[in-house]
Amino acid sequence: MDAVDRVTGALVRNYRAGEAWLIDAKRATYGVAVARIGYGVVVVGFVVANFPVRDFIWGPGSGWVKPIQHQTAWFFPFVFYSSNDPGWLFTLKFLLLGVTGLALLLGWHSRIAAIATLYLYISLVSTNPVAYDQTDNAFRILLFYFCFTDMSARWSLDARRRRRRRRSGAPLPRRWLPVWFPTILHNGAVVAVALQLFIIYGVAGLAKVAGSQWADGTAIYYPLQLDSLDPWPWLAQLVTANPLVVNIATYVSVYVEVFFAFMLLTRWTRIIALAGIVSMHVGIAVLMGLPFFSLSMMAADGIFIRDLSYAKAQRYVQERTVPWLSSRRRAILG
Amino acid sequence: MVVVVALILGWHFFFTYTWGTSSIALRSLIGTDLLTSYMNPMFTQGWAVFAPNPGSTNVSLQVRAMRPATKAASAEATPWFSITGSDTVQFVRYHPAPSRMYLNNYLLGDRFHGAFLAMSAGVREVVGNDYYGSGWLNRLKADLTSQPNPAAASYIEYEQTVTGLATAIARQRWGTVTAVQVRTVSTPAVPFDQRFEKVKEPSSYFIEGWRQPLDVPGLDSAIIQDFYGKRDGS
Repeated sequence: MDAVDRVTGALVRNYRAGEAWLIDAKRATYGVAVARIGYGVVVVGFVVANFPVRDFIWGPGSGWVKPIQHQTAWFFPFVFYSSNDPGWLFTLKFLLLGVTGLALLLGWHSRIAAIATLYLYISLVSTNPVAYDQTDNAFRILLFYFCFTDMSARWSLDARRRRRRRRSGAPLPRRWLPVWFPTILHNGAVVAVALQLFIIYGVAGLAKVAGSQWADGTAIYYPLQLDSLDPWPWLAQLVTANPLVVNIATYVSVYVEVFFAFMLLTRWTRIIALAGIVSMHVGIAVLMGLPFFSLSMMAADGIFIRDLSYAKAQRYVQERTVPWLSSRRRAILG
Repeated sequence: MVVVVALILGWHFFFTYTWGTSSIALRSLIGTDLLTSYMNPMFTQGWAVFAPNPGSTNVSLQVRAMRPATKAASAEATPWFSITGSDTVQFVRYHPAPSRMYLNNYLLGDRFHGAFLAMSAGVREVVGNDYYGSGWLNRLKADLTSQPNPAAASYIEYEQTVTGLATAIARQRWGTVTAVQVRTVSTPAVPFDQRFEKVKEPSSYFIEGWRQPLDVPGLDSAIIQDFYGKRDGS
């Protein structure tokens, strides 16, 4: 009977803890803000990097892709972009994606900006299946979940606007939903992002385990031999010169991916996991020229850093920059 | 409330996990049709990247054209022009944040070759024949499907795509052309333990026959001219 009581008690306690986590407050608010800023940077960077080639890949110079377009084409209304658009119209539409990305970065009407960015991004990249990579899957799926979170709670123009309104005593907008509903939605979406990341890293890591080049510790050498993934040949040669370095980097990539979810369970292993995953993504970004993929992943990984740590970092930066900025302002204004 | 959220997330990520792992048992439990209709298109994903082993073969997409005879010279084929080679120089090398040109033509060449290899050996040799005149694509299709060939439809799509692009590039590069020809050149990376030796792995070639130029309606040729127009006398 005691055993049954203990099990029942533990279940009830865990259920209540889970309910409290879900309902009491929005979690990972800084991490979600980091994701919002990260995705904003990804979109603005994507638009800037692809601006010179936009017409050939998706615009009026891309008609050659039509026979295979159905492979990734979406249904209405995700048909905003067309190779039949005249050049000026396509350019305006393309820049609109940059504008929504900038709004997301700054946190200006964040939820609308996030949904608009997601819609425009999907509409654009789905028109060319041979210019479509895993960045698009990661970006689309993770931003979809983030659309259900409160991305504007921290480090955003929305937050500043709300703060000023509260200070001035102006009435806050009327709430149509009960307070607990957006909180549950936010926290549920944060859990969804975490689970999606566990699947990404878990599947990627386990799939590598079967490979002979991952087993013999030479795998990271090979992608760097591909012309399309080798923006800095001298750097790739330098990095792959030493077999021990190649071996360590190869093994660490697999271990970090396979054990990522489990390493998040305690503080120090969490720090090691995040440092490992960030190192891997920085390597991919620099050596393979895939910064937008790396940033899409790292931005979402930011939810695994506690709000407490972000707040501490914010205080540290504020204590050092605000007095300096104030003194500069006084000096300039005389 | 916890139960509701757990059920929704549990349902969704059970499907996502099953999709990601390709587990036969889990797929049959859910049903392939239900899984596919649930995941496509929003949650479509595949994370077995660089796995089981990373890709290690450079696939170069190349084009050449037949120039018409003139009073001074007979008809002649141009040299091969590497579209992907040009992309590497223009869009990849020394770009900290390369555009999607890092992918476009490399992947097109790779998939074109893959679509060819997906066909049975008996019908592959048809691709090496020359096709001229209006309706050549339909004749090629008829020849490829003269015996059962489920992979023909995909190959025809890539043939049309590649020939359309090759025609646009050939016209901007060499002016008037009477035929185009496309090939892919696959060159494996030098094995890791030979990376300091001055060796090069032998390349393999997939060459289609000559094709009547296939102009893409409405294509803005100025864009093609900017990227692939003749600059180097080749």
